[in-house]
Order: sequence, then structure tokens, then C-alpha cells
Amino acid sequence: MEGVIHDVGAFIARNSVWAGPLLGLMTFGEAVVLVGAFVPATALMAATGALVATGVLPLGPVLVWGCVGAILGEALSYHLGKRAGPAIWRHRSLNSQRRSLARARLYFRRYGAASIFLGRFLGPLQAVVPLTAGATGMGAGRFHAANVLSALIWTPVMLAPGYIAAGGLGALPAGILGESSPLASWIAAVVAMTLGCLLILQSLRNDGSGGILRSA
Amino acid sequence: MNKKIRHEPPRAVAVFQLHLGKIGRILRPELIGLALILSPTALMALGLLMSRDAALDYPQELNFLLPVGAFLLPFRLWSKERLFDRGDFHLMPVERRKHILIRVCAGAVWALGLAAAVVLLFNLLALAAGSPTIGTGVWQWLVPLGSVATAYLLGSALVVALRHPLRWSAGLALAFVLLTAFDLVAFPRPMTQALVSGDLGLEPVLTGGASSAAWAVALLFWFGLGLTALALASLRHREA
Repeated sequence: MEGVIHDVGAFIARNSVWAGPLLGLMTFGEAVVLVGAFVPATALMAATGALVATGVLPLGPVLVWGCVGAILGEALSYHLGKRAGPAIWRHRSLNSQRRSLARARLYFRRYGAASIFLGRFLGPLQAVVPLTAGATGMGAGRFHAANVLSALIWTPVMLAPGYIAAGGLGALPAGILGESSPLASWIAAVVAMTLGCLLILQSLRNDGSGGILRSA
Repeated sequence: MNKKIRHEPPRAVAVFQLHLGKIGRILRPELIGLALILSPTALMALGLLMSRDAALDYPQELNFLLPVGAFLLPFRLWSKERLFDRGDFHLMPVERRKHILIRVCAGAVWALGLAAAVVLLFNLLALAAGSPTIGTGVWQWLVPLGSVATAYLLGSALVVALRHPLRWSAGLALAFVLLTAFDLVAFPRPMTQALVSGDLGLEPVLTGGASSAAWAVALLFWFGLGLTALALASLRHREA
């Protein structure tokens, strides 16, 4: 068994240049409606994280391709929803996903743009939320801003469990907070600030109370 | 005839002004105490300066003390509010989550105003004495304000998120002290070190770091974290 693992590891290391594009394909597939249910990208990303921690795969290309795939996948789901409009709810190909669609619609109605962010982390809703956003006519600018920012956060978060399990725990925070390059620091700062501002604005905008109804 | 009338909720600005006044009343004892301490200190310092050639540098310790005070301020501001029970925030005609965030904003104005006043006072004394002030660059004057705003946001997030924030804070502090005493914190030491003195650590936020760029990037990161923590904490108070 150890020999097989060693051979597989050596094979991956020899072909590491393909790891990024393959992971991109997986994250793309997971974010596309209907296809997403059959792509085990979450488990693969955890395994990729472990391979990155052990030095078999390079971190940079894996992160970049993972982000690109996730962004393009959700963008495709959004454009499918936008093209079909509200008629998509009754499309027979989505018969098996009625429950997910209903949840996504409620979720989207409640949280708006923030649901694009958070939906990525909620497995079954990942591909359905962008479809709902497209079908309900959410602006492309707002959607793509949320899509890109959430992908930048989602990819490292999904790689983290494997990375941490494979022994990179000590290096992870030090890498992020300690001796990071100026560019990485700026990216982390801008992402944190954008996320914070978006969430606060979303909270202040959603006024569910309306007025008070009184009988006169 | 029984006619339904829809009463508009009060405007956010009006709620904000209401809370500015309310917080002022809550902080009255502290403000009187601060004035009692700072006025004689300033008068004594001026007297000393006039009588002989004394040096009076801007105390850099303030860059640490002010954020500590700002972190503790929300504990004082929210101590009487029944956030998790049927208090004002459950009864007033403003969406609860929005209402809480507006109050946090009003508290931030007080925190920043007080910090600015203290920084200005000590810098004026230093200027009068001809001693070094907080710094020559504009950004160095903003360092205490940035750290105060960040600390206030983090403290507010803690208070808004937890039903018993004091107990949790005291418990965590006690756990950390015990772990340190028994030397059991060796494992997360690199993490702690990075969190405190790394490029994106707390140290550049508090002291200004090596340059304005280092300070700005660390401040953006921590301020963003504070906003995110506050927004997530306020989720506990959203109305169904």
C-alpha cells in the first residue's frame, strides 16, 4: 500500500503542472448548476491542500486556477439564470432540485448580495444561488463583485483543512500574518476591508421592520 | 371606521442623534472623572513649563492605553441594555439589528472624539514645551485614532455577540494565563507572534510600524476584521 501511495505521489509530482488546471476544472464544475452535484471538488480540494503542505504541489498555481474555476462556474450559473429568467423555476431539468431552489430563493431574498458570498460555503446551494441571482435580475456588477471576492476567500478556506492536517498549521498564520509579501498583505487587507464594508452595508440596508401598523 | 395607518419608522439619523445623547448621559461620570484628572494635570504641566525649561514629550504609552480604553468602552455602553431580553431594542420601532449597529456608530463617535481630545491635549502641551510631538507626518497623528476605532469595533463585536461578554473575556484571559503559567502555549507561539508583531499584526496598528504603508495595510486588515466581526455578531439580533 505504501508503495502505491508513493507511486501516486511521484506521478502527481511529475505532472504537477496539470494540477492547477485540473483543480480549476473541478471548482468550475462544482459551481455549475446540475453538474455541481456530481463533482466532489470539496474532498479534492482538501486532498490538494495536503499535497501543497507536503511540497508536492506548488501553492500559487493551485490557488489561481482554483479561484478562476470557481469564478467562471458561478458566472456561468448566473448567466444561465439571467437568460432563462423566472421560467427556470419550472424547468423540468431542475425537478430534482426543487427543495434546493426554494431554499436558495428564500436565502437570496433575505441576504441579497451577501448570499453570493455565503452560498459558496453551503454545499448544496453553491450552484443554485447564482442561478437564483440571475433569474431574479440581480445586477451583473454587484454579482461579479461578490463572486470574485467570495472565490478569493473560498479557495484558500477549502484548501486549509488538508493543509493544516498535513502539518502546515505552524506555517499558515505565520505565512499570512508574519512574513508575507507586501502584495499578499495588501490583498489580505483589501479583502478584509471589502468584506467588512459589504456585510455592514448589507446589515444597515435590510430594514425588515418597515413601519408599524396601527388601527385608527 | 377602522382604518389601518402605516407609521413610518424613525430615520436612521434621528436614531443616531438619540443614541449620541444617550451615550453622553451614560458616560457622564467617566467624562467628569477624565476632566478632573486631565485639567489639573494640564495646568500643572503648564505651570512647570512656565517656571523652568522642562521637557514634556508626547507619551507614547497613550498609543496603547487609548485602544485598551476603547476596547473596554462597549462593555460600559451596553452594560445596562438588555440585548438578549425584551429591552428597548426589542420594543422600539426600528429593526433591531440596524438599531444596534446605529448605536455602535454613535459610540464610535464618542470614542474617537475623546481619543482625539486626549491626543490633542498632550500634543499641545508637548508643542508648548518645544518637545517632540506624536510625529511630523499627518499619518502619525492618525495612528491613535485608527487603533481606537479598531479596538472599539472588536470590543463592540464581542459585546454584541455574547450574552455574557465579561464572563467570556475573563474566562479566556484566565485560560491564557493558566496555559502560560504551565508553559502549554508553545504550540501556537508562532501564531501569537505573527498576530502581534507580524506585517499584519496588531503592533503596526498600535505603534504605526516602520512606515505609513505598513501602518495603513495593517490598519485596513484589522479594521476590516472588526467590521466583519461586528456584522456577523449582529446576525444574532436579526428579526425573523
